[in-house]
Amino acid sequence: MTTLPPWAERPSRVGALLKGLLLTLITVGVLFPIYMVALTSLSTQEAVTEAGGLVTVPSGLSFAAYQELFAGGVVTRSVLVSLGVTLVGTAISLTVTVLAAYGLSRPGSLLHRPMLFLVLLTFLFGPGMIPNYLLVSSLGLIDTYWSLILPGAVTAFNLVVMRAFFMNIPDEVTDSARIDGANEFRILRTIVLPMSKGVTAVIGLFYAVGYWNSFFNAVLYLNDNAKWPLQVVLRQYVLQGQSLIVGQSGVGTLPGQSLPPSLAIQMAIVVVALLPVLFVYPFVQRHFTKGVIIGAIKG
Amino acid sequence: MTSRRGFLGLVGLSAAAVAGGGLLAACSAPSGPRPGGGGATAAAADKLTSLTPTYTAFPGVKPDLPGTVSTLPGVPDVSGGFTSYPAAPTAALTQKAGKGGTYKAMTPLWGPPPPGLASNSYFQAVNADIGATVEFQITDGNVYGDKAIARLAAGDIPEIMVIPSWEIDKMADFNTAVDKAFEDLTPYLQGDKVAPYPLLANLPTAAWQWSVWNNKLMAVPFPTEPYPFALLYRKDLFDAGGWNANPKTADELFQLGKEITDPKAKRWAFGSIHEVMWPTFRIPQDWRYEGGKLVHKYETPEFELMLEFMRKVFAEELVHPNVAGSKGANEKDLIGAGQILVYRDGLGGWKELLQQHRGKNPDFSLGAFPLFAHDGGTPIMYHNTAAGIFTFVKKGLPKEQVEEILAILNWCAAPFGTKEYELSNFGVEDKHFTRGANGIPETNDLGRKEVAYTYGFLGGRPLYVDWPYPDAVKLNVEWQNAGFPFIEKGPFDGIRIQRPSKYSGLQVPTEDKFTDIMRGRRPVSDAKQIVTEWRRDGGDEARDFYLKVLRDNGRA
Repeated sequence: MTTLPPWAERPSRVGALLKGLLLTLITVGVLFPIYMVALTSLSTQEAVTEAGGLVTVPSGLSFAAYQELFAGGVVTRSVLVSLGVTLVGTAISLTVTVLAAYGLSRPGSLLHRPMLFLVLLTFLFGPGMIPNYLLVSSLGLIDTYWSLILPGAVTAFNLVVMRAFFMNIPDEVTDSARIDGANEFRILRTIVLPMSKGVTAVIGLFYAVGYWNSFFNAVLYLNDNAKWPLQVVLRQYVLQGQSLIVGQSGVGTLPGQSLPPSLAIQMAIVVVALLPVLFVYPFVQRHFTKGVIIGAIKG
Repeated sequence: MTSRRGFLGLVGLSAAAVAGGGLLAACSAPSGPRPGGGGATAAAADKLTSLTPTYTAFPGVKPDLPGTVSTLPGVPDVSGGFTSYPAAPTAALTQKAGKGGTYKAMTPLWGPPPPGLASNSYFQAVNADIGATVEFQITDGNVYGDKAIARLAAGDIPEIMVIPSWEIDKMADFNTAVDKAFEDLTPYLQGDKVAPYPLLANLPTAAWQWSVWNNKLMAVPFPTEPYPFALLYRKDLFDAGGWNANPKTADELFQLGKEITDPKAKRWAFGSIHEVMWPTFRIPQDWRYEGGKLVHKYETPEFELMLEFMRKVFAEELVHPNVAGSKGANEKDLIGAGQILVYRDGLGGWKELLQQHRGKNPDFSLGAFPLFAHDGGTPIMYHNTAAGIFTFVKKGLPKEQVEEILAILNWCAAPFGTKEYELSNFGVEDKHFTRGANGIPETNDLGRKEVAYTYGFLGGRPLYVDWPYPDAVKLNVEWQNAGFPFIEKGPFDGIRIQRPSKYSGLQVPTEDKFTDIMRGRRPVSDAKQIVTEWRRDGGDEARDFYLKVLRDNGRA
């Protein structure tokens, strides 16, 4: 009879039960808040008041919060803006990051050390808000969508991660391509990128989430509120949580009108902001784990 | 200085309704009363008087509940109240305000953004009435200061720029910036020169005094109400329960709390009340000047008495556990649900609650406890500074444009009861609102979508209590008038002071420590230690600064 190492032994019933319990607890711990958020967004004010906060037991469901959110056309428009900025921004960011990372990963590139140094420098020193604003304004980007994309188009962290990944691709592979007559662009396109799907997907996700969540740049650089992306518009709702038109002077209030549930609206906002990431994530997740694991083994 | 929450409460724009409240708490000091802000050094009100426009009351509207005209330097008036909506609002201005110019205006907003000018019939209608195009650059009210600072630094100034006082407090070099960025309005508005702008002349002088920087009239002020807060209570439940809504001492308040609190019935007497207990224990609003020395409120013996009292209140569990346990409880929800019966809020919170609950529960009503002192003696009450928000005009515009902008601000200053006010607040009749019972405008779907509080921020107007609840208006104005004689006269009244930022920064951490005492997490004897830390960390420095202000103004 062979003795198994401890990790290969069949778990005891108690052990399996405990493990199962723990995993269930963790899963519930993750899912329950999302459940509460979603449920609260669908609840009436009575249900929210009754619960004294986030609703856990369904009572009185209503779509009032979502109706209120999408009634004005402002939210719908901002969703389009956010989608556009996310798509264009991610495309630009990925392109620039891949090209820069590849260039910086080739030891022979012109000035690659000073350039890498400059990139790494931004880890240590970030310009303040006002210098940034001055730059954006002197480039004439104020009140343009480019102000949401260009200032943060390349993140040093992503660039460094990608460069490290490229450097791990064995020289033999690229050398053989070079012998076959491929130039650097071709090597990048046909050899390096296909081997780096994982890291590209992950970094693409980082960028996309960044653009989707971009808030402060929009507040700073966009004066025309028709150009606002989703996060800025949604935050305006969270700030007040109830239609300001009613709240502003009191005279305009209909005594019989029930205000939309403020907490419900806020939670509806969370749901709206969450959905796209929730949808995209499962597709990228495969690469996400793979990318991380490959990196780990290669060391 | 009026705090943001306090101020928004006044104009009924309370952002404090946000559940959690953490967002706000992170950005602003607690809405405790604060001394005047703005100027780098201090300037006494009497020296400012020559700069301000001559006050001329606008004869067009008269509140049916008169207020109190303030004779105290720097203290806002009680503007009075309206118990009904005017049957036929009349136009305040006979001529078009604008001359067809186009101006960009940056304003804060704490709420859902409206569609832009091109697709917003409300903006178009108001602009048509004004006779000029105002194009709003709306910015998230909570990060408004960040954007304002960036634009000021970059010299990227819109023609009209609104800056709330609590944001100005955070700007270290505003005194320099204000000269570089904004037009000096003294030549246009000083004394009788205000005559072409009768509605600006209708703004209280105290508010104008707060618009002076570097001895120049720099902005059009948004006046405030005198009181930062009151103890509000559920009048309907008090009437039903037969409780005493007029406690005369701290002990009576405590007894009342014990009578009301019944955790089994999910009913607690209090939300947070300690800020109102400060004046109740005659703790000075900030400093007390006695015997040639300045004593800070934390250092007074009264402050310790207050701590002991609040400790008793918490120990007896008279405060709702959600309020006592965390900072995040939404007290408006709790009082609305009848889970607490008494809490501290700005008077604007009163209206907000009525709006939320009168519809479903016609009996729902609130009141404010008459002022009382802890020992049954003469009470004191704190006051706001006279202006909460300022509207600036970009520097270097041609004279005609400055005049046109001032004419637009004059239009925006039209008070409750005028056609202009109605248009700016509700839009166009039968398009954005319909007239309901008692002639009160009722916003419809288009109104809800398009009308946003924007023109309202461009300068201010007398702050009448104009709620559609006559019973509450009456109680409110009576309470305000009754309290006016008790407004504390402080050593700095009427002096505009730039609050040292170190001193401001001390407030929250220090008061958090005092909260620990109130909640029984630290012994009362630690209060001395906390005061010592406060003095070490900047309190003494602030004392020297304030003493110098008194000396400079010949008051010490």
